[in-house]
This record gives sequence, structure tokens and C-alpha cells, in this order.
Amino acid sequence: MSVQPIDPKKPDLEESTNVSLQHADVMRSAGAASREKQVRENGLEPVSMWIFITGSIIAIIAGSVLFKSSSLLEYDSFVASGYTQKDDPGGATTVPSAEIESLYMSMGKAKYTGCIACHGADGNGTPGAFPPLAGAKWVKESPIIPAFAIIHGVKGAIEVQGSTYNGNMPSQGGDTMGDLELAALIYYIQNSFGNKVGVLYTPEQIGQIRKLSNERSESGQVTAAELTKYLGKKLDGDSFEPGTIVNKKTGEILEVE
Amino acid sequence: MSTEVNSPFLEDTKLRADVDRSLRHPVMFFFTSGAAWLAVSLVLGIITSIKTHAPGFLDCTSFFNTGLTMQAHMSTLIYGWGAQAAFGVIIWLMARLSRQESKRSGIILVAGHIWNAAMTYGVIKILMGEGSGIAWLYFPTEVTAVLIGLYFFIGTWSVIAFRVRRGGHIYISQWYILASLFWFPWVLLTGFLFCQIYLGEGHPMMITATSAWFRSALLLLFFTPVAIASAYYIAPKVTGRPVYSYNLAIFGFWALAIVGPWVGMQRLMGAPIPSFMPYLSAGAAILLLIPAIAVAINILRTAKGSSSAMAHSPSLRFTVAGAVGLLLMAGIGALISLPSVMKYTQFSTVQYGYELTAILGFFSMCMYGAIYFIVPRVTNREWISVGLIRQHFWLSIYGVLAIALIYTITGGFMHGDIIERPGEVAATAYSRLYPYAISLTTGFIFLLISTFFFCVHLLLMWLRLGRRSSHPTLLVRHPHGSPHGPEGDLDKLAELDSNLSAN
Repeated sequence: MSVQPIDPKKPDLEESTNVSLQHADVMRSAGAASREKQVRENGLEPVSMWIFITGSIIAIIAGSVLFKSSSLLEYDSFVASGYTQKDDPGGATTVPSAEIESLYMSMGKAKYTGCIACHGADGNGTPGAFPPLAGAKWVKESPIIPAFAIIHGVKGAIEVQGSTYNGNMPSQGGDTMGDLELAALIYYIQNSFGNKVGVLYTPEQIGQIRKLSNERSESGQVTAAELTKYLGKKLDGDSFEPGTIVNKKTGEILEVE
Repeated sequence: MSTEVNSPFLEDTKLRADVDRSLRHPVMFFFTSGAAWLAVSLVLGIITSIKTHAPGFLDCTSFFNTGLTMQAHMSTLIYGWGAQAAFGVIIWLMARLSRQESKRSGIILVAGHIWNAAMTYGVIKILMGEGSGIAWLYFPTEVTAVLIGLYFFIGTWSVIAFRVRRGGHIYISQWYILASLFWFPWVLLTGFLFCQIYLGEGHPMMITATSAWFRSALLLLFFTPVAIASAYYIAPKVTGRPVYSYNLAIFGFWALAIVGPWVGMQRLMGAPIPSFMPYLSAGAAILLLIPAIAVAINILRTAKGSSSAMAHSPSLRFTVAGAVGLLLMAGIGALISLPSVMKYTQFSTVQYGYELTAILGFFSMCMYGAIYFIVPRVTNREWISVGLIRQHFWLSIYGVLAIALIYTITGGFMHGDIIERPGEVAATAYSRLYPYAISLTTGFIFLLISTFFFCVHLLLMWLRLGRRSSHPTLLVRHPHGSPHGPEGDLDKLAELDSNLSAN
């Protein structure tokens, strides 16, 4: 064994020890440990210049990335400049489109969730308190009446399906609702719960209703007396043909099937 | 056995053998169960990967949904294989380098059993869809809490062994191991507290940011130092040469300690977190190349020149492969952190491939090197089969190359290129990814075959069915009539022993 002793303070051998015996003993019980080489830790080879050069290049690249962020340690700046995806270069921009009837039904149904509490999911209202929409002439005979009810709300006695209701319906935010959404909601209540009017009003036609609404002589909620004059009144202009494909966001006609 | 040994060399050999013996069961337990979890993880990885190119595979039950198998796959890879292999190497290396026998092997062994039981429960919970869903912390909260608690019953004794070490000089491996012993609970506790406990408090994006940091920190501040510690031990030990440049080794340590904790948030570039954070992390991820080069050059230069040791020693071969893996990991990590490249890589498969390359190509290779060195010592038996070691090495290399080069780099950029094109539908990106997904499955299958036989080999060694020989199992082609080379002088020694006793 030409291995350097770990602890050179001690004498190599003592007369009293049978070295061969001890050696055999250790070799047998610790074969792997006894053939190990010692770890010497003081390697002091010179470090190649290339490591320093490579390290410097890496540090420069890293620094250039780091200082791309103009706002170091600024916790209020959340948007990195230039970090948006580039536009489609001259490609066909795809517009979200839908067929008008299914668009109006799904959009109107989503809007109708605000009406369910009083008029019911089935449009039958609450007997004695809130009038039904199903089969009501107020709903079926003109789009102006439901539109006014949504825009202004209704007060006073109103006779629906043979019963008289004396409730107070507040405005349902029809002023802030988009024309397309209002058209969809009117289409939904005119064509659900057994109602079958079937006219697909365009946003332009809803504009006519808004014009009428602005020219009202009364203010506040509408009354049955005021609504009566609109019974049977139609809107000017063409409504959508069934099967028209429109832009889901604007209601713009894309093609007619 | 005699109790009095007077020769200093024999005394030290006996001490080292005693250290080895005191740690036999905890170390073998961690290695063997770690290898078994690695096999489980690879099976889950194969299921996940097959589903990306054959979506109908195993769709009979919700247990094998991609989202669930992916989580179970990563959890078993990290906490089943990674953490347990690291624990085995940490406790053995620290005891050996501090020349201290383990006095708490029983506690470590019990903690190891509970660790595995908790993990099994956690994996079943994940597959039932009751995991936490937070990246790399997929286990339910109670399981993560138990794992953190158990760590203190495993790691504390190594810190104590270091405190009462014999010998004045602190070897570089001890630096890395001591650091990882403190970094692991720090990183795991931070991730656990901010991603699983304090959820309602603070900004919700903080969870995302902490989770991104956690993944990187666990990789760079736990798996990396343990793997480097093992490489710095194995390379000089097998070649018998000192570490090429000790100053470079110390520099590499401090560079990792200073740069490592800043990495991680670069993958959130463009997310609504303070915008300097991703840039800071990207810069740090590039700087990480410096400690990686320092360590890898040091290991490779230490091994260079001992071509026979390289050719014959499985430990050295795996360690050198691990050093190359370290360069690969840091190289990919720096490349995908460049803001100009990131638009192709941020949302593509590169991120997953990088994690696999780091764990399988760098960390695991270093662990295999350590395991092939440690196991014959703690069991006092030699590895049974050269063929099994050889297949383990080559299949691991093929598997890692398929994953790192084909899937991660080529596939990741192909995938990212399509994602970046406006107007392309997602299906195009997946059809582009198809061949690379198959290469991932192939790589996993190579690794699974090698891991299965590795696990069996380890189990046989733990049962002490290894060869009794004074010669190690080397990768030589039987020049001496035995598949392992010369069997040594055990019989001669026994003869000598009996002769001497008779006199």
C-alpha cells in the first residue's frame, strides 16, 4: 500500500501488532473502502484565459438583458414595453360571426336573466304581483312597448291576459344597453314562452325606438295609457332576413345565406 | 474482528468502513425506493406523453387524464426520485467527509418510510383530482407539510455531523452539501407558505410569481448543489487526481449561491407583475452559465487524462455525463431566457423539456455516478453485472439525448414558432409537435427500461446478493476469464488469515 497516511502524527507500526493479520482483516471486511484513493483537494492548476473571456461575454449579454427593463426595482411599473404580439401581416382577419337567429336567442337569453326574478324563467310572471310575458298583447303587438318598459320602467294599473296588475317596474337600464343587445332581448321575449313574432329587428330599427323614446312628452316610467298608442305599431325599414350571418360584436351584416 | 488497529492507514480505512456500515440501511432505502419512484414517474410520463400524440389512450377512466398524470409524473420525479436520491447522497457524503459514523440511522430510516407512505397517499390524491394544482407542489397541503416536517428528521444529523467533523479542511463537496441542507427547507417552506397556505393575502399574482421562483430555486438550490457535490467527490476519488483548480471550485460555489436565487421569474415575461422582475431573472439565468462552466470545466479537466478510469469506472462515466448535462441545462436555460428567443419558447414545450433535461440529464446522471460508487461500500459487495451497468449507461444517454436535443430544442422551437404566428389555429401547432412528442415517448421508454433493471440491481445489492470480491465491477470486457475481470485475492487473504491464526 503506497497510500499516504491520513494522520502522520502516529507511528506507522507497533511491535505488538500483527500487521498482516490486521491488513487481511480490513481488506476482507472493507474491500471497497480499502482500495479507495485519497481525495487531495489542493489542485492549483492555472485557470485558462478562455474561461475568463467566455465569462465576460456571458456577463455582458446578461447585463444587456437586465437593463432592457428600464424600471429596475420599480414596483409600480407592470407593463414591459414592446411586449405585445405583432399583428397578422395582411392576413385574413377573422371576425367573430354568428347566424342572427341563434345569436339573438343566446344573447337575449343571457340578458333575460335580469328579468327572471319577476317575470319567471317561463315568462308566466308571478300571479297577483307581476304580469306574464307569455301571450301578452303588449309584448307581441309591437317591439316599442317592451323596449319602452325596459328603458323607462312601467307604473300604474295595466291589464294583461284578463288580470289587472298594479305594480311598479323600475327602469332596466335600457339606456345603457347596446342596440344589438336590446334587439336580442326583444327578439327573445317575443319568441319564447309560446310567443311567435319572428321579426329580427336590426340595430338601426332599435335606433327608431330610441328616437321615439327621446321625443316622449311624459317623463319617468311609462303608463298603460301611454303604451296603448303603440299597440300594433310597426317599425320602418327592413329587419334581418333569417339566416343572415352577422358580426357578433357590431351586428354588421357579413353575408346572407 | 480485531479491535486494535495501529497503522494510520488501516485505522482510517476501518473508520471509513464503519461510517459506510452505519449508513447501510438508510442509504440503500433512499436509493432503492428512489429508483422505484423514478420508474413510476417514467410510466406516468409515458402515459402523459402518449396522450399528446394518441389522445384516446387510456381514456376509460378519469385517473389517467393528462392533467392528473402530468402532475403525478412531476411529483414522483421530484419528491420520489430526486429528493430521495439526494438524501441518500447527502447523508453518506457528509458522514464520509466529516469522518463521522451515523448515530441516527434508525430515525432516518423511519422518516424515509413515512416519506414514501405520505408520497403514495399524495400521488393517489393527485390522480383522484384532489391535488393542489400548483406547479411542483402538486400534493395536497397536508402531504407537503408532512414532507417538510420529515426533512428535519433526515437532514439535521448531517448538519450535526459537519459540526463535529474530524479534520480541519472543509472539502468543496461539503460546502455544496451544507448549503443544500439549508437551501432545501428555505425553498420548500417559501413555496409551501406562499403558494399553499397564505392564499387569500397579498396580490394574487404573487402566487404565480412565487411558484415560478420555487420551481427554479428547487432545481438550482437543491438538486444542482447536491449533484455538483457528488461530482466533485467522485471525479477526484476515482481518478486519484486533485480537483483541477480549487480556486475555480470555490468561485463556482459562490457564483451559484449569488446568482441562483434570482432566477425563475423570466418565464412570466409579460405577466402583470412588476416588469423589472422577469428581466432580472432572465439576466440571472444567463449569468448562471458562468458557475455552470466553472464547475463543468473543473470536473472534466479533473477526469481528463485518466482515459482508463473513464473507460472502466461506471461512477466516473456517469459523473462526466452529468457534467456535460450541467452545461446542457445551463445552455438551454440561458437560451430560453433571451427576450428575443423567448417569444418562441415562453409558451411552448421547451419549458417542460428544460426541466426534464435538468433533472434527468444532469442531476440523475450525477446521482447514478454516486450510487455506483456508494452502494458497494455500504453493502460490502460488488455490483453483480457489468451488462446491467452498461445498459443503464447507454439507454440513459439515448433517452436523455432524445428528450434534450430532439424534444426540447428542436420540438420546442417548432412548436413555439407556430404558436407565435398569428392566425394559425392551435391544431397546427399540435400537428407540428407530433413527431417530437413521439421522440419524448421513445426517450421515456429507453429510460424506463434502464431504470427498471437499475432498480432490480439495487434491490439485489441491498439484499447483499452482490459479488464478494476485492475487485470492483468495472466496464471491461472480461480479459481474465471472469465477466468482471480478476476476482482478486480474497481467497488468498482468507488463507493467510487462517494460517496466521493457526500459528
